[in-house]
Amino acid sequence: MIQIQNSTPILLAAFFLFLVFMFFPTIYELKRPRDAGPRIIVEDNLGLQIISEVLKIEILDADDEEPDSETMAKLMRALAFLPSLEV
Amino acid sequence: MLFDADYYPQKDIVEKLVKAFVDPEVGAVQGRVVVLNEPKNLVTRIVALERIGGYRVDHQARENLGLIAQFGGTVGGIRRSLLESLGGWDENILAEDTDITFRIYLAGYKVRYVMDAESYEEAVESWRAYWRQRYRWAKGHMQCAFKHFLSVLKSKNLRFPEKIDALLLLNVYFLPVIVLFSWILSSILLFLKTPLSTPSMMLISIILYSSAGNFAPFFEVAVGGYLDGRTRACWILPLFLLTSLYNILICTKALLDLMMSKLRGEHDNRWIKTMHNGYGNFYIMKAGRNK
Repeated sequence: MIQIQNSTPILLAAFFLFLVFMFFPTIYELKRPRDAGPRIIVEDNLGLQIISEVLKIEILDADDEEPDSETMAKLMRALAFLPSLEV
Repeated sequence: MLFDADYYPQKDIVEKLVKAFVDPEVGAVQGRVVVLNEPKNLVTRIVALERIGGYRVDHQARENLGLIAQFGGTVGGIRRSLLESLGGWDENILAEDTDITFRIYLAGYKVRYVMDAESYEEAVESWRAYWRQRYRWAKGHMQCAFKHFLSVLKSKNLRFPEKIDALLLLNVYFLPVIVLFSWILSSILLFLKTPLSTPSMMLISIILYSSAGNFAPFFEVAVGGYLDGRTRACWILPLFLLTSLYNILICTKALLDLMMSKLRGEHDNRWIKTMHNGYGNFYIMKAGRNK
């Protein structure tokens, strides 16, 4: 018990230094993130494929022509895929 | 098959998951959850690391060792005939996924984990949302512990190692509460002249505590980050000290609320929804551009 009490300030100082040293990389990574994700396998992702498909659709002029059924089907698929706001 | 509404599954995830059901002993199958909105802020980056530790190491280790693979209620599937024979989901339990996991194992079936079946999720983006989500998980898990503890001990369908793992899994959310209790107790003992206050006793306690106790998740995440090739992402790992403190508060509150509701004879099972912003598409497009 006596030994612990005598060494307490040294232990506390060492622990504090350890904390400071430990947090250096953390601060550096937070300031200049080099690996903040996302890690995602793009080729296999259904979301990316569908969204990419929708982005390719040309904007239709509603005054000139009716949207075709193929475009509507693509839009319906994309809208059905989008997540709801609350889970 | 079950997916949360904010999840972006891989194209062939159904094939990857359902093939496990070829084995008639498999009652449910679980895939891997990966955080999609990781770059958003500090909370999402920490949650992403937690997911890496959980799904790259914890789930996979349980699968490899033939222990209790947990069905997480999303990115997975359950044999419908089994679910019906078990009486469906228990609506009185907040962690209905953990509950069904234990009912599956107690009925003599298994849960399989398929790590390459990935689905991308939108993680909570604020500390408030983190509290709400973890509070629900903690309370639900504790409800499962009270419900299944004795059944696990008495079960003839579980091997001895499975029983040990099942008990550890059931009681995992009590650990932060025990940590808080141990801090209070050790602070008292430090200032009292007792046989427990010797330097050797303290050294043994610190080693045990650091390796098998509160520091175990740090090792788990670090190993998961290494295996995923995300060692740089693990540089923020020391911040888990803060989330550990946060989780101690969450779990203690959950336990106290659960005990109070039990004492009052109430069933406080309100489901507090986790808020999501629906920005997943943005990160998928970003990942596509960076490819």
